[in-house]
Amino acid sequence: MMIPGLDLGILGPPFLAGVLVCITHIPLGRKVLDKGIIFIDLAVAQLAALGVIGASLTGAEITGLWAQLAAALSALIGSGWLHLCERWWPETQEALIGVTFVLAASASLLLLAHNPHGAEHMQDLLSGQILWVSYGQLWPIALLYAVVISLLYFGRAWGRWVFYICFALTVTASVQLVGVYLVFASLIAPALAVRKLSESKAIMTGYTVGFLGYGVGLICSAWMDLPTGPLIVWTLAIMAVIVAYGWKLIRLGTRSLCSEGNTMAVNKDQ
Amino acid sequence: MVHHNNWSYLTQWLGLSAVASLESKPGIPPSTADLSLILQRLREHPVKMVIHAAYQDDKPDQWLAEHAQVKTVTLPFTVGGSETATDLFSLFDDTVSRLLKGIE
Repeated sequence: MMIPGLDLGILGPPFLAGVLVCITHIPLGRKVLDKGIIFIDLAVAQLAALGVIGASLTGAEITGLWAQLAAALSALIGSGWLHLCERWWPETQEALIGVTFVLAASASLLLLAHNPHGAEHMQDLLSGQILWVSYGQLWPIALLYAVVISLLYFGRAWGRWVFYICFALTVTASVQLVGVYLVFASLIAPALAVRKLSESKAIMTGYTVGFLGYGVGLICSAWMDLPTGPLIVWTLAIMAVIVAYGWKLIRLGTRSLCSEGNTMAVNKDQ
Repeated sequence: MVHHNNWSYLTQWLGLSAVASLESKPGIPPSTADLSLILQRLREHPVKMVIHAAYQDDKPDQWLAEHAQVKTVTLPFTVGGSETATDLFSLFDDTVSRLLKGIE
């Protein structure tokens, strides 16, 4: 069956965007999961979105340098604040992250209250605009992500603030590319699926979950004629479940086969 | 090629033909299936430009401009839609001059 919309020219750039997002978000997501501060992603992503909205209200070109700096600054300040929360009030950290998220989300609504396209802007930043991505847009993001990945690997010894800076910069870029919901899903769903695997195995399996999630999501969105961003959130989660429990099922299956084989061998001996 | 079906009077007045609309369901952004149908249609019927109103999100138009190698033209749509369209006369002047620029 020929599915209209299944065209590499159309789905290629969004898939590449997804691959770039996965490459950075899966190692970051593992760290977030280790620390047990899951909602930090939602808070920082929402703060970056707030920065974008704030910059767009001043009339700045949204893809321009100033708007991007404003968004990064907003995410960095938020990230710094959450870092302080971690140091000063570790026992109420999760609650403070939650409050930060709600404040950022409400501030976006307040800023957009008098904007006739407010609801559209809000939805764009939540569910993303992955379909409109062009190859030209991906170069600067690939460059930024390369810097972030090397900082993550080589800057480990410099302390925890490296993680918070990497996190803020990555999320600022990806929130505008794929939206708040997909940022959260890309960080957490694959990381959750590979939680119990060793580091090197976990990263590769996590990438498989991510790439499959984005690929299947894009194809299904063309096939079912549904919005791409929210659908990928679902395929990412489904892939994560399949990979997390698929392994177990395969292992259980082979084990029962082996034990059956053993009993048969024993029976033969008798 | 138009973003949204809101140019009927303009196209009739100037004898333009709108080959396709970016929104297959008016007001709803195009899906991947829509986009591939539009690209196919544009291959069969090449167009001079993609027209969209100043108040609309131009991301789909930029996308189409890149994929189908056509120009996008932003029209003021109404008085106040652009810097120069300050009254009804300048609205028409500005609209026509933007369209002419698109043909160049």
